[in-house]
Amino acid sequence: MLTFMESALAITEAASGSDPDTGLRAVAALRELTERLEILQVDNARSRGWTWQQVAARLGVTKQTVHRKHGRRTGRQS
Amino acid sequence: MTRTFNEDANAIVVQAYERATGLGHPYLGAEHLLLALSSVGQPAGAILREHGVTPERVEAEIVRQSGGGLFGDLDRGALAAVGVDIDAVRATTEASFGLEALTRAALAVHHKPRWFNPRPAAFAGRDGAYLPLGPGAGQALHGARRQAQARGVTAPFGVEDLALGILAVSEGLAPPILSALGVQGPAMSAAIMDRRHPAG
Repeated sequence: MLTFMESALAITEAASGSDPDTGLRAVAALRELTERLEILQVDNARSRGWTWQQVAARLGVTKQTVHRKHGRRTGRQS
Repeated sequence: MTRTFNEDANAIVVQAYERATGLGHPYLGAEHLLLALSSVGQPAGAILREHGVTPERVEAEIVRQSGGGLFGDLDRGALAAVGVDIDAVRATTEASFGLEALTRAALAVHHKPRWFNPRPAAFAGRDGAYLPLGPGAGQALHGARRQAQARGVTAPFGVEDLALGILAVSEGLAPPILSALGVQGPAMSAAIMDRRHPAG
């Protein structure tokens, strides 16, 4: 495993460079990470009794969008 | 057509799929191949276990380091390049929600119907269920072939060839798992080669 210093060095190098390969892969990975965190956070909010309206407002999307995306999984149709 | 791997090596790939599915992970990573390899009876598996790389310890590290499978297949290197430490994200979300919630979310990530199988069943599990290849898995399988060919071995490749491919992986969770168990890939590879071609 990389030590902290090594990984910090790697970050600085990559960020200061303009390698499209790393940059584009990072964008794709961030998008995927966002999707995963959304599932986790939406499920948590719903299990705490948040309404779709409340969830949608925080995510900055419509209630319909969030319900279409997560409604079937969390199994609550309200 | 010659198969890439012989029956024993292929059984490891199939078992890796089953272990990944069993853990609720929506991808096949090199770490699942390592888990399957560590449990086989062939010399490569025995050598791993002699060095403390047992199925139990590998599985525990996989669960810990992949965040229940929710983060294990993300491109760690690319995320680190933009300043996102995936291990930190895993640690904070696991502390907040618990490993079980992470595993549940991982199961929800890839919800393609089971009949959707975009690739031939060559590397699919016994039930034909399809998992995308996660980081390191392709590297392990292709690396196994390349390394074997470089040694003059021809297909189908065996368990030792596959083991050397898995141990040489540089992406994904296999390297940090080996490191956490106190072993190094190159040293394990050397031990496997020694057992197969004893010096003297």
